Amino acid sequence: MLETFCAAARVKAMLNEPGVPDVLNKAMEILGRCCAPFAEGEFRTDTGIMRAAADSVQQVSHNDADIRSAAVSDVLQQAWENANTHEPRSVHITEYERLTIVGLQYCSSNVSMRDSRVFFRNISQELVPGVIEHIFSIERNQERIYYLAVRRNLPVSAGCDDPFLPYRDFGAQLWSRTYNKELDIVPVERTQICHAISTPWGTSEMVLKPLNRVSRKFKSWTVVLTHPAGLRCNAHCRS
Amino acid sequence: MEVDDEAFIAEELVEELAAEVGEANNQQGVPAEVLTDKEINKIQVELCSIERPSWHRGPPKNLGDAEHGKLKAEQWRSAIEFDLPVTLLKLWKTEGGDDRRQKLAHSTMCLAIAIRWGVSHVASARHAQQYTKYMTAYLEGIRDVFPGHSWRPNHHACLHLHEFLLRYGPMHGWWMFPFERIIGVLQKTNTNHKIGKHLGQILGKY
Repeated sequence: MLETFCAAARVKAMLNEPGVPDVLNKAMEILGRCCAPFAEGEFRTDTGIMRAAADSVQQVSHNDADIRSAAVSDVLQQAWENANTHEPRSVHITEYERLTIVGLQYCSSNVSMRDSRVFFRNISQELVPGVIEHIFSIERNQERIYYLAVRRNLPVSAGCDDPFLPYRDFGAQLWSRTYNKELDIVPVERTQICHAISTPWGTSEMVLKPLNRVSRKFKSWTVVLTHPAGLRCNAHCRS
Repeated sequence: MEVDDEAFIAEELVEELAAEVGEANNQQGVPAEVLTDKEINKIQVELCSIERPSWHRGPPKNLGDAEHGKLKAEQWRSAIEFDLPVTLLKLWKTEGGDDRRQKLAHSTMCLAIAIRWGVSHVASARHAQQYTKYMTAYLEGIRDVFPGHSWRPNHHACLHLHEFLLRYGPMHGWWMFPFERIIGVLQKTNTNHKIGKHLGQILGKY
């Protein structure tokens, strides 16, 4: 780790020198564009909350012991048929109790409420909380595609005073304890998902905050060096 | 023996300073302990109602009691990440609390936000600026609530961290937790207290 740090420090020192090669300057610009250091309103993405889902390609797995033998419920079947997934409506669905996404376990609410409360990006690309009610997969071209059926928390009523609004950078928000009537079908490998921490607030609301993944599960991490002129240099390291 | 003498002198100094601080607080009529037993009990009840994923280790349920011992770094992190700011805001901002308690709740929230900006996986001038803004607000809040508070070296050091964020990038790349972990491993290693005799063997192990 120390060696990586020293290597990165040397790169940074080299970039600060006047005779830095043009190709590196061009790389600086490209990196700067690709990894905008801060986008207003998207602070939560800075803290790596969505890292788990963003890196999740080919990192979703299930244990065969978690396959549910019971028939798929009518509610799930109907939600699947109503969802705009571009998949055939009459397809064989395999349901699970648990799913591992990038080393973290997600459960359906009847198995563990703690591991079923999540934040995900809905169709409008808003980060919304909900509870996983079903975990299932379908097969397409011999490839397994995983989905979550999530019951979304509704926003608080218009007259409700949210004390977290002045502390937007804290990341928590009040949500209603009432859930949406419809289930959201969330494709695991194409949607950003993370766990949530919550506590009741009054009689009909709750505070919810998206959580960063646990750091000790990281197999690799990224060092981002910031150049005084806005350069960012990413180096993948082994922890 | 010299080492013991130095330790004794340092201890005396600390006790002397602590006495001065206590005296200063008493003179200004501000008690050093802001939380009553009843409030600590309320906080503990609130902590029990927090629902977290199974991998997330929260602070002890009896937070504030001596029985739980020293908190682990992970517990401090989760306590300031959600538990304490939300609980204090709930108890003192919405359910009622005097001006001093409301300021303390606000101050705790500022600290939580400062840490969030400071430990971001991205470092930029804006991150450094926001970190300093909220950290300063936290320290000003503490000064306001505890006028006789004696500042510690850490309070001074935390106002320099923005320089490091700009120079070295995100804190995850240079914070001391990996070294602390190695120190923890070394502390658990059995030794015969003969330092230097088997140095090569120890180094070979790591």
